[in-house]
Amino acid sequence: MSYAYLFKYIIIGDTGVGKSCLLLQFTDKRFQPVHDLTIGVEFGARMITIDGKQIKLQIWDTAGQEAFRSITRSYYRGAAGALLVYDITRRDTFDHLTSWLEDARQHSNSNMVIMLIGNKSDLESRREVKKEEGEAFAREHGLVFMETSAKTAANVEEAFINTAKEIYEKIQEGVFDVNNEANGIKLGPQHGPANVHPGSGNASMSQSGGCC
Amino acid sequence: MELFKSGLRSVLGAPTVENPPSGAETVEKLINRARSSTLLDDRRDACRALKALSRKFRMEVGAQGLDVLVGLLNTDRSDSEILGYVLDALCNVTSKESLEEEREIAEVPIGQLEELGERFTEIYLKNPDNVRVILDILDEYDFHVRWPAVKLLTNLILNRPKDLQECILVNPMGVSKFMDLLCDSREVIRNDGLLLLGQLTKGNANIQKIVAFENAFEKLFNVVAEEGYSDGGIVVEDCLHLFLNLLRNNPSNQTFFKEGSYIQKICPFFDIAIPDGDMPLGWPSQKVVNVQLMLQVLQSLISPSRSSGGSGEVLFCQQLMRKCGLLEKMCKLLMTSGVPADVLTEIIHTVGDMIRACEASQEYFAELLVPSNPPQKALVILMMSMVNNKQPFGLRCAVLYVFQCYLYRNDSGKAQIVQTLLPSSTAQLTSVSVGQLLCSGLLSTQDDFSVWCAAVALSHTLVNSPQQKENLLKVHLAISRVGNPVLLLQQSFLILQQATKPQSKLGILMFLSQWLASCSSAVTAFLGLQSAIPFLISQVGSNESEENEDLVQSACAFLLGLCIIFNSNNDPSSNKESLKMLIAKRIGTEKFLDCVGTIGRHEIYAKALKSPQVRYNCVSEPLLDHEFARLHKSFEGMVVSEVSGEALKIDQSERDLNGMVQQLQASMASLQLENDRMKRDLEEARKNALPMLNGTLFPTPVRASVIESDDSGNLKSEIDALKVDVALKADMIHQLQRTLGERDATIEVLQAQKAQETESDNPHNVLKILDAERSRLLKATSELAALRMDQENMMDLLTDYETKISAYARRLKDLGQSVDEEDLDVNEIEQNLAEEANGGYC
Repeated sequence: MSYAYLFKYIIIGDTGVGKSCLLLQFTDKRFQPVHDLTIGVEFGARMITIDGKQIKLQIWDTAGQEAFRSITRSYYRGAAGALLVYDITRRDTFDHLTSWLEDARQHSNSNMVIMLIGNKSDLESRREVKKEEGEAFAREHGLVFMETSAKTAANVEEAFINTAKEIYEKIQEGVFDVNNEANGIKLGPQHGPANVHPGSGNASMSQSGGCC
Repeated sequence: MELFKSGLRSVLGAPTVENPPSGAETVEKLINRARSSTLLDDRRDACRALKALSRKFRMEVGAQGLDVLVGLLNTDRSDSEILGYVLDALCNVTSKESLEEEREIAEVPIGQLEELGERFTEIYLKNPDNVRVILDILDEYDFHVRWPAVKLLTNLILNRPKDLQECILVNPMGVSKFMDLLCDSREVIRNDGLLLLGQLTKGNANIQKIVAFENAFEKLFNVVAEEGYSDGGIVVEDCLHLFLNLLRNNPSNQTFFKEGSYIQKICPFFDIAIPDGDMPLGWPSQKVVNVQLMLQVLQSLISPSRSSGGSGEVLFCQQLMRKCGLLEKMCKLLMTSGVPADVLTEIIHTVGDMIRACEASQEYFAELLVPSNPPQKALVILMMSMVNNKQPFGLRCAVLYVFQCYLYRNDSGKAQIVQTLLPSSTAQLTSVSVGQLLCSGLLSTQDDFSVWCAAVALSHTLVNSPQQKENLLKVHLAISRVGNPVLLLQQSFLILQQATKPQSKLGILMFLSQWLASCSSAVTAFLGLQSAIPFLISQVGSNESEENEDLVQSACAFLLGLCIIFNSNNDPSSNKESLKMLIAKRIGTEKFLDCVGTIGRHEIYAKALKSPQVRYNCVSEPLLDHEFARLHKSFEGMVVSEVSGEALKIDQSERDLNGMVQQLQASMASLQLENDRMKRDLEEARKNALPMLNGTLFPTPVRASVIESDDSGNLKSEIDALKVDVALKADMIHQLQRTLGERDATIEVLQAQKAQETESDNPHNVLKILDAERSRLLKATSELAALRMDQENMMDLLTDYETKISAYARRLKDLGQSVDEEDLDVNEIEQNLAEEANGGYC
């Protein structure tokens, strides 16, 4: 399938906050209640549409365990977006956000869009982190914030799509260099690297089809 | 370092001190200069000399200078000349092979010299910073720095692959620096980078994933395209090796490859020009290697042995390959002349993987025509090769594989093949059909492998296909021009009787097993053949000790077993019971059962069961087929239980369950006793209360005082005891209820497990047992419920009777007797208690 852009995402955060479940819900529209520890990194992909354009999301779901932390770091540089996830029923996962953010900022390119996600919003009765706290943290660090539930699928689509919108806007503003693949962005096969002018806001990009 | 030096000396022998300007001394001087000189030029000269000497005196340079050299990499980072010399020197020191110069003056065996490289690598890698330094240097563009840095890393990874992989993983930017090498415009660096990545990705899934994340597939395809695809040189081969490293056993990367639309990018690789006229030289050997490797890349995505991702992922890839034209290109190559046999074999295997269980692709394959005159179906041409012993063995195996893949879960395909054998099909008379080819293969008794192939191929038309089993019963063969046509079944049995080699015997036996399984009319027909049963009995009973003859015996026993399981019981001379008696009498049940299991204990069987795609080395090797192994696995248990006449063994968990149920019943019985006792107590209490009742009817002061002082107290204590008792009972019932609930859950879990495990084995017996357990438990539950009812009734009675007591007590009081106030409240307390207990079990 053809696409106008390809964005690379990573999902990071403590172990057990639901990273793999978010990915599974987004790519397969299903929920797996059993926690299957991610080893290293797993891959998933999906096509979305923004502003009438097909955008392919390639998502790398990382392992939250400390042991895999150094491996996770290898993925920051090439990613355009990151979903930083905590569990609203576990205060410690919220407390660790600072260290995750430090890691991300240190190893990623400076334009990487980070979406802060408070997952498991379906477990309201066991909530330990208030929504306002998440919002405050996001404001303080310049992140986009959202509470999701990988179980009920609430806000899951939005989380991935809003991140893509943010990246897309940055491209339009000319912040991202689309010709440098190290930014985690790639132009679709039908666009020659030279013919896109970032910032032109060219919405009339042709929707070429037919390529398999 | 000093310690190490002396250690090395003691190992390798102390250097001779007498020799005036020994190499060791020179090296020492140079190292001192490189370390302490303040002049850049001096240090540079020292390094240049050290580089030269390191070829001859690697031990000395390594032992004395490793730290100094690494130090220079940090301090003189800006001087590319020094960097170059130092890296070259380190390359020599860590070289896996012995260097020419050092061999000339070697005082120790060359093997020991080669060990040096590994030992210095080990020392070098002890400090992760040493790796970080080279990774930093890898950013330098200067050829004389970058290239030796690549070579040094290559040495390190060849010597200590695991250690270096760990070091690289700790470095967040490590892998991406390696990837940058692939974009270097200088081919030497790019190519060496490629080799380095090949080593780095070996056996480390995490590095493989990061390399893929860093756009490796894209970059590799660029290199492959630049080098001219399949016509490219060894660099293409290196790229393909890296592809394989990244894809094999790495589901995440396989998905990424598919999602990244890289399958489509393989297409141009198979645009292989069909040469005009004769090309006597054939393909260049590099091209053969390139194409074979690319075929392996494809197989890694769609092979049935692909470790994970499930059949959905495989199907997705298969469909992509058809849609983007890869299947078409592959089939075109299949029919192109001049393709070397090895490549052709691999192409056929790949086509098999591409169509297996993928309906649309199977259809495409079935319709494929060879551009001959008149055009013929490719499948027919391929089958001709399979039953032709002049063709290369590997090719014939591949054709059998592609045929199996074509029929796998393809009912219409199976029907079409069988159709070509049925008498009504007149249309096929003009040209040869697959069915005819298979029968001729079956009859070519001079070539055991042909018989085996044909039998296995035929058996695949019958897998899970009751209709074709019936149809095949109608097939007749015209063996000679004069004689009457013979039934295929009869002919097959005849071939079995006449066969001498295990290979052809097993082929026919597997075919017959597949045919008779779940088809009682085939069993009846088979049992109707003259000497069918005596033959099988004699085979099983014989004491042949020839190689693989045990497999034949076991397959015979299995076939006999199938004749029992799927017996229609119509003919009294060969019904279940008579066959079982025959076995017991002629073979002995024990021996028979042992014999049935023999095949399953064989290594060949395990291999066949594991994957439908088995690669063989020689023509006598193929013995067992994958589908047969699966058939055997599903019916062996049934055969054993049928013949041994025993129900399937109840496994441990079920036995445990039995125990639990018994315990539960025991405790229920004791509860019942308790309950009875309680009832008796209650009865007594009531009896005790009667005098009081009477007393109140005829109230006299004397009587009343007696009640107060005596009976009332008795009554109270008794009520107390009862209260405690009731509470206890309630508790016990509650506990039992809970245990029962747990048991129920356990049973359900076990049942589910059993149902899964025994799906193919023998679900009925086990399920029956579990059902029995379940009904026993259900009964227990209802008994418990009855008990609870009793208890409640009792409670009511108790309350009732207490109300009465308090009423009487009140009346007594009214009559002027003093009664303990508490008695009046008893009622209330009792009520509460009852409510609590009731709440407990609801």
